[in-house]
Parts: sequence; C-alpha cells; structure tokens
Amino acid sequence: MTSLLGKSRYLICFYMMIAIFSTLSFSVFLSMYERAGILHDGISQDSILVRFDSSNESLIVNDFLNVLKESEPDNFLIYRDSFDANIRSFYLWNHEFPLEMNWLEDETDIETGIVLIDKVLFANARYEDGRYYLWYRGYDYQVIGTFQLDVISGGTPLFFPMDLESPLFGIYVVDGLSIEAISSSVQQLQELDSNLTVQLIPLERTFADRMLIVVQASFFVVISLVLALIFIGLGTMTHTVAWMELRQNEIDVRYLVGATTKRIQRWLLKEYVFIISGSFIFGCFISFLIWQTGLFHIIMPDFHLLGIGFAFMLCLVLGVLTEGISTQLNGRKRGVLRKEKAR
Amino acid sequence: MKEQFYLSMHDLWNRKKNVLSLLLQMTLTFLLIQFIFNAVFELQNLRQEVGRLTEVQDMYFLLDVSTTEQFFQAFEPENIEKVISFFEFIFENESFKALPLQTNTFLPPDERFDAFEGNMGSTMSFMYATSLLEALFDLNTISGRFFNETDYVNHYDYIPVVLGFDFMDAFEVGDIFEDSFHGYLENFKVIGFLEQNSTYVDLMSSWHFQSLDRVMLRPLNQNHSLDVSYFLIPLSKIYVIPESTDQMREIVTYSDELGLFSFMFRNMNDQLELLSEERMMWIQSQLFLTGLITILTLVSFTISLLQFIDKKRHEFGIHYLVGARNKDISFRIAFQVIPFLIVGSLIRIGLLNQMDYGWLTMGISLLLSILICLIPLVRMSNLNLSALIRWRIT
Repeated sequence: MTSLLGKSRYLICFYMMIAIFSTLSFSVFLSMYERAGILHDGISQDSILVRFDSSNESLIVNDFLNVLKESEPDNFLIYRDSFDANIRSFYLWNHEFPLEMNWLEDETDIETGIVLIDKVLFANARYEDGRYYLWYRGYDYQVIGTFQLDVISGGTPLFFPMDLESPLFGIYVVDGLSIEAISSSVQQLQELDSNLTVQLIPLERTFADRMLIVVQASFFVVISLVLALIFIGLGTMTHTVAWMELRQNEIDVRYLVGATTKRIQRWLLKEYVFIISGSFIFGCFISFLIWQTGLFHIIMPDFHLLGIGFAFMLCLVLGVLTEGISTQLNGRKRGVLRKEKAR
Repeated sequence: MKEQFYLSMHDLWNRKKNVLSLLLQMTLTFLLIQFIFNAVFELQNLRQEVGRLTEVQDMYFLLDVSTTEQFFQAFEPENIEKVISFFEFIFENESFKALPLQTNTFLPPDERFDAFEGNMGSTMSFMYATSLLEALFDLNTISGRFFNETDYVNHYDYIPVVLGFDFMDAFEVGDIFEDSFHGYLENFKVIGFLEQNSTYVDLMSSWHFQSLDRVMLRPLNQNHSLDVSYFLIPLSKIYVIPESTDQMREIVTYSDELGLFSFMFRNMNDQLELLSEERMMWIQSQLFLTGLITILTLVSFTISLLQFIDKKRHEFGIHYLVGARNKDISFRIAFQVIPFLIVGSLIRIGLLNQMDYGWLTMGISLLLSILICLIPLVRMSNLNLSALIRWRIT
C-alpha cells in the first residue's frame, strides 16, 4: 500500500486538483442552470401563458377571473401584458405580490389609481399630503410600494392593478394554477362566447432553452471550461503514462509469470479507481472549504450534491479511459499484445 | 549556463506533445489573467468617471416610455412645432444642462471613409456635440480646434465637424466632404481631430467606455436642421444635470402636456450601482475560472517537472559526478519554464492586441513561473548524490 501511494503521489495530486476543479465548476454550472430557469417578474416555472385571440367583446377580464376563482388551488397571480414593455397589470387572488418589496403601504386597497414601481424609478414620485404620487402619461397614480428587480434578468418596472371591466382579449400569465385547471376555466368561457379562441402555453423553460441561456450568457466561461477539460484530459493521459512507467517493473514481472494484458489491465484499473476515489474525497473536501469561504457566493450560492456526482463521474470516466488506453499502448509498445494474438 | 539552456531545450523537445498541451494551458491562463485585470480596472475607472461626473450635481437619464403610437405621432407634420418646442426646452434651457448621447449612422459617398468600416459595412457613426459634451468628458483636439459658441448657433454653408483620431490618416483640417441625408445634401468641413483614445460614458447602453476614435462629431445646431428627424435623434437619448429633482419632474410634465413623449427619469448613481453588481458577477466568474485554471496549470507544470526529475535522476547523478553543481542542474530545470513564459506572453499580446495592464499580467505570469519551479528546485536540492545514482528508472 505504501509503495502504491508513493508511486502514485503525483497522480493523487493531479486527481485532487481535477476533483476541486470539476466539483466547483459543476456547482457553478448548476447554479447558472437554475438561474436560467427563473422567469421575469417573480413568476414560477409552472406559469401558463394564456392568449385570448378573438372574442365578440362581450367577455371582460372579470369573467375570466371569476371562472379561475372556482378552480383549485384557491390562490393565483395573473399578469396582463400590454403593448408597452414598461408596464404590466396584475391581479392577486389570495396571493402575495411575488417580487421582493422594499416597502409596501399597509392597508391600501389594490384598486385603479395605484402603482408599484421599481426602486430605481422611485425618484419620479412626488410626496404630497403624506403619500407618494407618480405622474405617468398624463395621470397621477398613488405609489403603494417599491420593489427590487433582479439585476441580471431584469423585469417590468411598473405594475398597475388590472382593469377588471376591460375587454378580455390579450395576453395573460397565470401563476399558481395547473394547465388543466385553466383549460377547464377557459372552456366555461367558450360556452359563453363560441368565437373565443385561446392558446395555452406553459412557460417552463426546457432543458435546451436553459442550456442556450447559460451558453449565451456565459459563452466565454463555457468555452474556457471546455478548453480546461481538454487540457485536463491531455494532462491525465500524460500522468497516467508516467504512472505506468513507474510501475513497469511490476507489470513486467506479472507478464513473466503468465499474466495476460486483460488481467494486468484489471489489476491496474482496481488500483487506479482506488486512487481516483481517495483523491476525489480529499479534493471534494477542499472544494467544500473553498465554497465555505464565500469568495464566489454570487456565482455559486449553493454547493450542489449533483455537482459532486457529475464531477466524480467525470473523474471516473476520464480515469478508466486513460488507464485503458495507457495499458493498451504499453502492451503494444512492449510487443505483448502481438505475442498474445499470435498465441 | 549555455549548455544547461541547450539541454533544457532538448528536454522540452523530447516531450513535445506534453509541452504543446502545457503551452496552450499557460497561454489560456495568461489570457484569463489579462481579462481579469481589464475587467477590474475598467470597472474601477468607470466608477471614478461617474463619480467625477456626479460629484457636484446628480445626473439623470430620461427614460423614454412612449408608446409606438406616440413615436409615429412625432413625425406628423402638425406636430413639428411641438417637437421643436420640446427640443428647445431641453437643450436651450438655462436652468438645467442637457446632453444628447445618441450615436447615429450615416453613409457618406466619399471613398476616404472606405478604410473605416463600421459595424454595418461602410456606414459611419456620428454624434451631436454640445459644449457640455466637451466639458464633461474632457474632449481635446490633437489638431485643429473643437466647436466654439458660434458653431452651435450660426448657419454655415459647410457644417463644421470634428473627427475621431483614426480619421487623421485620411483627412486633414479644412477638408470638405458631403453626405445625403433623407434626400437633402449636407456639406461638412473638418475643423479638428480628437485626441487618441477620447471616450465618453453612456451607462444606459453599456458599462464600457465608448471610444470616439472613429466617430464624427457635429454641433447641435438647429439652424442646420433639414427635417423633423434632426430634432428627434438627439431627443432619443438625453442625460440631464438639473439643479434639483423637481426640474426632472418639470421635463416629464412638459412633455406630457405637449402630448408627444412620455418620460421617466433615472439617477445615474443608481444605474452605476446596478451595473457594478452585474459586472461583479461577471468578474467573479472570471476570477473563479482564472483561479481554477491557474491552479490547474501550476499543478500540471509542477508534476510534469517532478516527473522529469524522477526520470532523469540517474543522468543528474552522472552530471554531479563529472563536476556539475546544484546551480547548473537548477538552471536546467528553470530554463524549461522560460519558453512557456515568453511564448505564452507573446501569444497573449498578439491575440488581445493591447498592452493595458500588461505589465501586471506579466508580473503575475512571472510569479506563476517562479512558483512552478519552486517545488521541483527544492526537491532537487534535497536529493543527495547517492540517492541519485542508486536508482535508475526506465
């Protein structure tokens, strides 16, 4: 054992470094992937986009809300989009406003004439008679709260309460209800208006969408990581070959007493996997300590267990492949494979 | 020492595949270190610049929240008076200062511009200049002069323009060229060239310093207006330095009263904080990546050198027996790192085509090279002669 560890000290150092690199990188990547799933304006990934394309205008927003209120569960949030990218209207049913609020006035009814605004636009409001007012497109609105938008993903800066008496057609985002519940509510509306056409689109981002966001947002980081992985692969190959050269005498003796390349490969692999696993545990512990320092808290808020799993898989695959290739190369170099074939 | 250098090159040649991989690794590390320095110092400079701009008075950006209908309404002939009225209210108001920072493109049919292709083929960028632009961003000319007070007011047959530094290769002060704008012919006369690396800051568009080296400045002078778009272009991106926040509300209210545009305003300090936070995320990912790849390089190199020492122990032993000193063998090992340092740095300079903070990157690269040699040299000095000649590996 001491001899094995002595001869494998460089390999152990190298695998520890790979473990630190891959564990931290996968954790960062998973954090980025999680972030890519976050939708604007605080809505969850289960939100559904509802698009009412045509109607005879007999239906109003309130009709839609009334049928939704009969659904389960008994709480939801609806945004209605307008042609103006700066504003969204909202309706809350037993639901809290989903964005992080800097302040919110107590006991203020959410009705027409109020507005919630992005903190950075609060300077636009004027103070009058103990209240804040925002002058927006020729009208005064009472500011009842300010919120903090996510720095990276951004969002809508102004939220007005939904006009319940306005015609129904338009685009809505419903959060809190399943697509089935919304679909059955919509069917009730279609019974009232046969001309009503509706589209329901889940807003959850697919794996491909999220990967695309990650790559687009951090193209440079992803490219560098891929390059680093290639270097790791090349480095592993070099160090494994050197490790095998150190053990050449043992290998030769085993060949002399009748071992085949396959058996040699299996024996080396067993020891190699042992080295990888031991190094990985130490490397993983060091990466945990690095994460604990909080140096990279913005890009790596969590230490992902899944990241450790991926990292171990990477080390294992890399190890098995390089060990296999190295043994084959070694056998070929020494002419053992040719002799075995001839036999 | 010459022999040791030759031997070390020979050692590298014998491990060429490994050397190539290590060289690429080293180069990537140097590039990442350079990126980190660039990002950190640019952020620091930007903070200083915005701090300087807002030191005395707050600076605000007018955020256009007009609808598409409002936008098209502004082009209606009956609204031109309103547009001019708002233009004058913003840019000729004595109670606050306003700065248009919209960059626009034009397509001058002059072959002298062919060598300065912009992002969209041969289109060139221009900006409207005011005396505030000159004062805020400390713009100076390297040749000719900047605009004077009369350039912003008088009507000339030739519109005076100041060109960015790069245009000095093709133009001279006094040169004349023409451009067709919406079917109208405009004649320009070069009155000066900006100093090299003249920049301005437009925080609402980007956290980068914007270069003026390939931009044409023309004075904001409504006597040279040809149609309504002359007024609308500068109105599309306005920075204001008011006496108080109330003046910002006055602008918003006046615009609403005219029924033309809807605006909100944003303090540039808030914007800087947001941008800094966003930028910090980028810097942190860079730092993280650079840190990991640097450690990877360090470990790979060190292990590679240690393996080399193990492999060459017997040879080193013979060298010692025939009179070599510790210093000679140490040089042979240290010399192996120097080509990586030189070639890696040259590739970095060649690829990034810049030397900003290059000396810092070079310093870090040198430190990295020393660290790489450290463990192998300590190991070498700890080996005694009998240990060296007792074993023969390979």
